[in-house]
Amino acid sequence: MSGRRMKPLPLTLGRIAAFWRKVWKGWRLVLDWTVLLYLALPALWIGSGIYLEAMRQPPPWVDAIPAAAPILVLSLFMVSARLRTFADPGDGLFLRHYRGWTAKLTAAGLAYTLAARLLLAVTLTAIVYPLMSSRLGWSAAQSAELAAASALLGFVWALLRDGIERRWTGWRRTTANLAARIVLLTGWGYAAGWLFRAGIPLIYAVVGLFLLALFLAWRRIFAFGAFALEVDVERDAYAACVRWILFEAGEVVNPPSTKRPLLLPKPVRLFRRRDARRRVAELWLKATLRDPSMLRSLLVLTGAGSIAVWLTPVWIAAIAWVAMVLLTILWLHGQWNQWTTERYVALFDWEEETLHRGEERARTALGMPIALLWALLIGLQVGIRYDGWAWLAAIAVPIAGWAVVRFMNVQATDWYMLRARAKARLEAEKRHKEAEADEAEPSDPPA
Amino acid sequence: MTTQVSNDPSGQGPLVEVDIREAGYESGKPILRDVAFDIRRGERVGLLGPNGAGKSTIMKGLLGQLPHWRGNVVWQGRTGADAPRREMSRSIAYIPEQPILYERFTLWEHLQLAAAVTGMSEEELKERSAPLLRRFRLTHAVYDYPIRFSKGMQQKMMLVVAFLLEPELFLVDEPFIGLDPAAVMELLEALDEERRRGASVLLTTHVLDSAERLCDRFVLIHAGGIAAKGTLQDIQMISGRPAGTPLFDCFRALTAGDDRP
Repeated sequence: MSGRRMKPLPLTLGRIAAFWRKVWKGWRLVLDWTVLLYLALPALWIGSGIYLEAMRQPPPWVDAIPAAAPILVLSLFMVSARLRTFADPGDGLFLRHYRGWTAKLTAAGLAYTLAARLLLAVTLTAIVYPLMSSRLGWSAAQSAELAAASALLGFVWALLRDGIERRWTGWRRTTANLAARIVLLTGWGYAAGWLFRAGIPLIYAVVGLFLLALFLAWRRIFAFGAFALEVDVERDAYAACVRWILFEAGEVVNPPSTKRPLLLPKPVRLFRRRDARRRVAELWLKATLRDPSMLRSLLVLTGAGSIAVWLTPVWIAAIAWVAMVLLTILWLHGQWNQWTTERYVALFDWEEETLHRGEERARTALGMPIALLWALLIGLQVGIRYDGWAWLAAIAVPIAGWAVVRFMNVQATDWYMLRARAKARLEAEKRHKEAEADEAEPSDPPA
Repeated sequence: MTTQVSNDPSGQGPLVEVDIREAGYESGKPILRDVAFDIRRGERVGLLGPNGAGKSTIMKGLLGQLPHWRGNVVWQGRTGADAPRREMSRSIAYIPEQPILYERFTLWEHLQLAAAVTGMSEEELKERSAPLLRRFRLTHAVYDYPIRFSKGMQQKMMLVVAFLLEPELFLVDEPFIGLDPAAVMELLEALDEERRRGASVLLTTHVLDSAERLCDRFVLIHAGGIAAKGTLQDIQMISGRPAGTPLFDCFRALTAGDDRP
């Protein structure tokens, strides 16, 4: 056995390194040299060029931004913070029984959290500093003070959030979290904005926040009963870092944080008719709308699609609309397929009709409003461009869009059903041939 | 050696006859060899054996989840091309050792999905589920996420799903793990009621004294094959033990001196 004694600080440092190594390994799955060479580097090059150009010749709307705006922008980034302690579930076995260890591990986690906030705040300030100094009148000292104050605000928020999450669970936690976030942002925006406008150095805010942070950190070091939350925070932190790349692989499970669903907790009929396909579609819709990552994806899809049809000429927007509807159908089909492979869902022997027509209903319910919104934007664009009778397009285009989406959706279902049947037939034939080759006796896999 | 003593206490034809010549997860690496047994209507058959003997593999085989399978299953007297596979798979309810849940469904939605997929109306669902939820004391948690339940409550939910479907055959994998004594009693009572309805049960367990009280017949699996099968009296005879010997001792006698998994 080695004579070296493990100490809290080296242990935390080792865990920090292991955490980032693990995240990097996840990202390496998608960032091979071809992606780096042909996508990441060109994107970095083009992005840098756009940034430098924007700094040299800022767009005219920059002049309309209030001078105190950077305070709020930075604070918005800061209130996503959580207290990191790099706790390991195994710590519960014996490490956590030693108060001295727990305090030192927590202190190391606090230092990491503050350092991470400081790094983020300094980076963001440095990125926008050229604009802050040339257009909004911020000096270098003021910008540095803002970065320090924002980092401390992020640190204070992480400690407040930790306190809230240790105290409450379920909807109370969610509500308290949201309320505290709003109060902190409003209070900070008002106080720091007043200091800036009054010409009082932000260093006073830095000192105030530092004292508050010191008090909260001291209390946190000696807090009891925080281990379960710390482990949850670490799991969530890893999930947040790799969610986008491992989502499809089902590697990152994001279980609900509440005891009951916040959305549609009790049975609500989304469809009037109650056949099996609609009941299954209803269940899928509920599960999908409760998944924050799916909601984010839906919002991104809706937003990006809306911008695409609004900013392009009408004829291009019409082509883009068809392409985007197709993509939406494909994407929703992928989501449905993934859902049917969930272990509980796959436990049952599905009727082909229920499976495919249920999917069709679900796709319509989720995709149709998005497609109609895009169609409405095209219709409005036609009205704005050609005026007069052309405003009728605001009604006609969504109606035509509704018919087209229905047609495309039904065709897609027919195609998916055909494909599934062909696949099942091929598999059955393959099994049959294997059985024949295996032996002359009857061979019949059950069920 | 495989020893069998013929016995048919129910006097009815078997619900299912299983004859596995070879089965496993990889081609050329069979886990099971020459496993043949049957289950009659209303009968409870205990599938017993040490860890790794192949009990769960047999259950997966019956559910059609094994990639490699050579053998035959006769369901209600029909087999081969004539076998009503859909009818069979719809007539089986599986209660796994580890609860299987979907994290974004409430308990009620788990039941709703089971009902919708198996063609049960919503009225039937309400009618059948209410006494089951009361029996397993889950009524208060019906709109909660089961992913936040304790292991025992999750297992109870799986039991409710299985009983809800009123299948002809229950495949129950280690039913006593995670359940409190009251829930075990409720499970046994519910299984008794199902037996009166005519349902059969194939259960695996390591709790041999419970199996002894619960099952009509036993299939002792050892190292992927059948060590013995029949009633308790048959097992006692096969193991060379006198009448009245507990199943536990028969089991030890039949598997003694062999440390294969």
